[in-house]
Amino acid sequence: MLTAWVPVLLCCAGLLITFTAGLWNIGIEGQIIMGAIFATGVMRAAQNSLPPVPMLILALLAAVVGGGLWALSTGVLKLYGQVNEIFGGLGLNFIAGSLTVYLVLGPWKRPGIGSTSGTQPFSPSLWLPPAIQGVNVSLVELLLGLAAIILVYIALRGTYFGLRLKAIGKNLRSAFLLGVPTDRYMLAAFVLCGALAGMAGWTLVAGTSSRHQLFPLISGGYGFLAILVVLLANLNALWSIPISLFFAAISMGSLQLALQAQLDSSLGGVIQGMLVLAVLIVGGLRARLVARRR
Amino acid sequence: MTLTEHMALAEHRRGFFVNWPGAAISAAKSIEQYRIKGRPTSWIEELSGGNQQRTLLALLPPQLKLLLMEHPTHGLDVESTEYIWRLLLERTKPGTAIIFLSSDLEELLDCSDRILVFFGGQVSAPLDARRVNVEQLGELIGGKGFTEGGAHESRA
Repeated sequence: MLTAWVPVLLCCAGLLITFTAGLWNIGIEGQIIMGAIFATGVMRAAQNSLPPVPMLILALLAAVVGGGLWALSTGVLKLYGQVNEIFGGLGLNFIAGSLTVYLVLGPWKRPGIGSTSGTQPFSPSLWLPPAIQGVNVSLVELLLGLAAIILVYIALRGTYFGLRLKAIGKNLRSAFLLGVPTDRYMLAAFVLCGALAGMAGWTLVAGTSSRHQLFPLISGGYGFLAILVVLLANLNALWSIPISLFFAAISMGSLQLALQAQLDSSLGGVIQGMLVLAVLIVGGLRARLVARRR
Repeated sequence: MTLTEHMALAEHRRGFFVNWPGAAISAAKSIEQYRIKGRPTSWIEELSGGNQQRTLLALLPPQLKLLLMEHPTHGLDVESTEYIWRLLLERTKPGTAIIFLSSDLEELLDCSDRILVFFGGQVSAPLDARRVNVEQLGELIGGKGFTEGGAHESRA
C-alpha cells in the first residue's frame, strides 16, 4: 500500500498546483517517466564514481529537472503554440513512454539480453532502506511525500504565489488585469508539478520496493490515480493525504483480488472511477441547485 | 474568490506570505467606504451587479493618472449608478483623468466635462458638456454636422 502511496502523494502535490491554476496537467504520467529516465541516466553514468548517498541525491535532482522540463514543454506548447495542455500532455506521455522502450531496448539494454523487462538493476547499495523492518517504504520517501503535500498546502493557502495561482484558475483575464503575470505563473505551475512528478519517478527507480531499474510503463498509472484523488479531494491538499492512502490501498489490494477472491484486478480501478464520478456528479448537481435558488 | 482574497491580491506590493488579517481589515473598510452589501468572506460571484461594480472600484489603486471605462454603470439601478459616479468623480479631484464610453446621453451630459462623438469613422471636435443638450447630442450621433469624408463642424 505504502509503495503506491508515496508516488501518488507526490503527484497529488504537483497536480494541486496546476489544477489550482486551472491547468489540466494530464501529462503528469510523462513527467513521472521523464523523472525516472533522468534519475536512471544519472545513476547509470555515475554509479561507480560516487558514493550511494550523493548519488541518490544527484539522481533525485536529475529527476526533478527531467520532470520539470517535460512539464515545461506542455506549458510552452500551451502558451506559445496554442496547444491545449490536455492534448499536449497526452502527446508528451506517449513520447516519454516510447522513449523508455527505446532506451530499454537500445542504448540501456542489459548486456546480452534484448528484452523490454527493464534495464540492468542497480546495485543494492543504491536501494533506499526500509523505514522499519517489514515495511516496504523508506523514511526518505515518506518524508518526501508528506513534506511535499504540506508545503504545497502552505503555498496555496498562505502565500501570494498560491493566491495568484487561484486567481488565474478562477479567471485568467481578471487575474491579468489585477497585475498577475499570468504566463510566468502558469509556466511556474507546470514546472513545479513536473518537478514533483519527477520526484515520484525517482521513487519508482530508487525506492525501497521499486524494481531498481527503468522499464516501460514505469509510471504505473500513478499520475492518473493522483488526478482522481485531487478531484475527489476537491483540490484540498490535506484531504489528499488520506484519500491517496485509500486509493493506494485499493490499487495495491486489487492485485490480490484475482488470487484470493477470483475477481478481476481491474475492479479496483472501477471502484476508484465510480467513486470520483459519483462525487463529481453530486457536486455538479449541488452547484446547479444553488444556481437555480439564486 | 472572496472579497478578502481580492483585496489581498490588489494590495500586494511585496512579501511572500499573505497578511490575511490585514486583508480582512482592508475588505471590511472597503465594504464600509463603498457601501458594498457583503462581508469580507463573501464570494464575489454571489454579489449583485452593483456590488460587484463597487468592489471593482474599491480594488482600483488610489492614485491613477488615467481611468478608462466602457459603460461603467451598464445594468445598474439608479441608486448604484449615482453612488458609483459620485465615487468616480471624487477620484478626479486629486488629478485622475477619466475617459469613458457610454450610450446613455444623460450620463454623458451629467458626468463629463468634454464629449466626443464618433460617427462613420469620424470624430467630432470636443464638445463642452455644459453647452450641449440631449437633442444636439442625438443629432450628432445620427450623423448631423458630419461632412462626408470631412471633419465635424463644431457648434458648441
